Amino acid sequence: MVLPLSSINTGGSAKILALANPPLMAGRLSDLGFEPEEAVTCVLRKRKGNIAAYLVRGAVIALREEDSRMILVEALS
Amino acid sequence: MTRRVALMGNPNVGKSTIFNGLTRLRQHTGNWAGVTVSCAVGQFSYGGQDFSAVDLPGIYSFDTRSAEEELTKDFILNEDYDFLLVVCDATCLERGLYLLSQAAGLLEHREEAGPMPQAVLCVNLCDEAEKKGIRIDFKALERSLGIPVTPCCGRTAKGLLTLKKLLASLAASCPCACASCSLGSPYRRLPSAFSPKDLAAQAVTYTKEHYRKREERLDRILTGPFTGTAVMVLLLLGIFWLTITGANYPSSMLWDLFFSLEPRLAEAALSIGLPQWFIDMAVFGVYRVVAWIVSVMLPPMAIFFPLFTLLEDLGYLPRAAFNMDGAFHKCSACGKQCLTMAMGLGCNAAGVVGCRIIDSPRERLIAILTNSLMPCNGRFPLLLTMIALLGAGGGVWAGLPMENPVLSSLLTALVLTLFILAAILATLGASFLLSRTLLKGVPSSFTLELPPYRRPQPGKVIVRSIFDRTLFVLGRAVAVAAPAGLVIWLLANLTVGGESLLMHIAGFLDPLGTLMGLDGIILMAFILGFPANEIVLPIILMAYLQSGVLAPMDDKTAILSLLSANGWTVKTAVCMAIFSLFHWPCSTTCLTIKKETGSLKWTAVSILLPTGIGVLLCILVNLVF
Repeated sequence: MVLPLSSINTGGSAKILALANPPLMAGRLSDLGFEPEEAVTCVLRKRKGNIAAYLVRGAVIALREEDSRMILVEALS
Repeated sequence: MTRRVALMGNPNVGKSTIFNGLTRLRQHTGNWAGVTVSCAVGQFSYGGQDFSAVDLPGIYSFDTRSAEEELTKDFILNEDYDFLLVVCDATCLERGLYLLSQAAGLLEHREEAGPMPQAVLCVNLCDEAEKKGIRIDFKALERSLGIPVTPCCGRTAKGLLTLKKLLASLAASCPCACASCSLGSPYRRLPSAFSPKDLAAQAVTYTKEHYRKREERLDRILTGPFTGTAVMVLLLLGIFWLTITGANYPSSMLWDLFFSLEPRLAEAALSIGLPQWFIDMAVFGVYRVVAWIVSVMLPPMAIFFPLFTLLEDLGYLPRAAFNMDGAFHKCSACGKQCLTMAMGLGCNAAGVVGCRIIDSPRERLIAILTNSLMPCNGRFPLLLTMIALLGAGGGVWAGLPMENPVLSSLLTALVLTLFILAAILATLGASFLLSRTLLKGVPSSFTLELPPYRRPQPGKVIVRSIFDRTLFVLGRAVAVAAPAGLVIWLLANLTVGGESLLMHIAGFLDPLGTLMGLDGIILMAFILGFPANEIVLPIILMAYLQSGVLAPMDDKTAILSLLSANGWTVKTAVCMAIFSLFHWPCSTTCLTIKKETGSLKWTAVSILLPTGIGVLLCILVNLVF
């Protein structure tokens, strides 16, 4: 099932399927490892905020919800 | 001949630490992405070979999306250098390998442009990887890539010697440093084509499944909905309390020392036959202002900077930015602004330069324009005196004399923390206003890297923060204070129509000053303090005493009684504290803003914005209370 990355809860992992972000951000994200086929894990989420941090390629990167919403993933169990 | 080495890699992999280890220079380092925003050059030699190293800003890729990336790419492509040292983090090797493969791709097209550099992969932070149970097969890496691969730990200098040896032997194997000769070198110049993902999977093994467990637990506390804010406020409070308590004693010791030297200096000058007016000017003008500033500023800075550097090295700052991002998001600003504000707490000029870490031009400009709303270290002594005055005045009225020193310094720290929180609020408010008026726009996307926590090294922290930051800032203050002391002395001693120039200016400014709950002398002191905020208080005292020379003050109580005698009330102290938080940036910061924005218009805005806030708030306080 295709989900936005923002819907993955803390501790959950997902495989990236596609980036629907605007070109500039999509480029920046793929530099950081947010690329199709890559596995990411949500490690931190602000309960009321709109920011969450993801473990990707061994580094932890925080993204705002409007950006992570545009990253389409498939949940990994 | 000198061989040039370029250090390149992802942000926060420790390039500057390796650079410092190689060259014995002291570039500013810290545990967050974007500490280095411009190139640094240093020399070292090993085994009879001379090297010149260039520390480039960290980049995520060569698809340049920011000024530093542009700078690094430009250097890699167009400069002449012999070694490309690709530094990567052992705990996320894959990302480093991606950058290496990009660099190799770029350099292949360079072939005609100049001699091909020798690429070397330096895997840094090996100690950290080991602790996390991450094992790296360096032999396999070297076999697949065909270029030299060396493990390293820049913090402990372990592996730096191996790196130097390697560079020296490579340099010796190719005596001419020409483009094509690979005389005796078993290595390729550039790595053969490889898949970063496969190579990382092949060379890295994770022996601990939950190697990030401790980090995640700490993250949850530091960014929790309640605990995150609590930790941030407590850290601020703790740092200020330690600074205030710790600085008291050395401050008064320095004070006594400097002022016991003063008459002897005057005597000595007289005995070698210098004229009296010159002695007055040099000793009671220049020397006294400098002595004042050193004894008031040095001890708090020598405590504040190391404490702050500890936090920086630990990796706390990005977590604070993570916490604060919601607020910045609502103001259409960048969450990384929190990092530049933290730098502004040390020095606004440094904070303004630090704004380069923000990619989007609109958000960067917001961060630059609002940076001086955070009080820099030079303004702390002024704020502390005002708080002491508030405490003394308020305490007397409430019948609560603060005799317990621990309690009183804790209270001072608490009030200072409140002032800083007010400054943070003002920054958010100003950012909000700017993004609704002058700098309209929606917040652009941003990414924030949360680095692993690293145990700070207290010895290095102290050396670095004292020598590099404290003495640097103090040196600048003194350099400004000495001529300022002279100007003040002249203004106070040159008379027109029976009144000193100082008094004429103060009289002219008095109406506005009174409206703001201050007076003409205070306003004039702030104007004369443009080169350095540290000299504002000395000027006020000197003007009140009308002695033409700066009064040596035995202790804080003497200052307080002098101020009360000149009509100061709690309201004056409050307005003064507000205005010292919010007024124009110092001259160095203004010049830096001009340089960073390249525009006089934005420099003017950066002056008018905090000044406007300060004037309005002061008038408001004056009229309401």
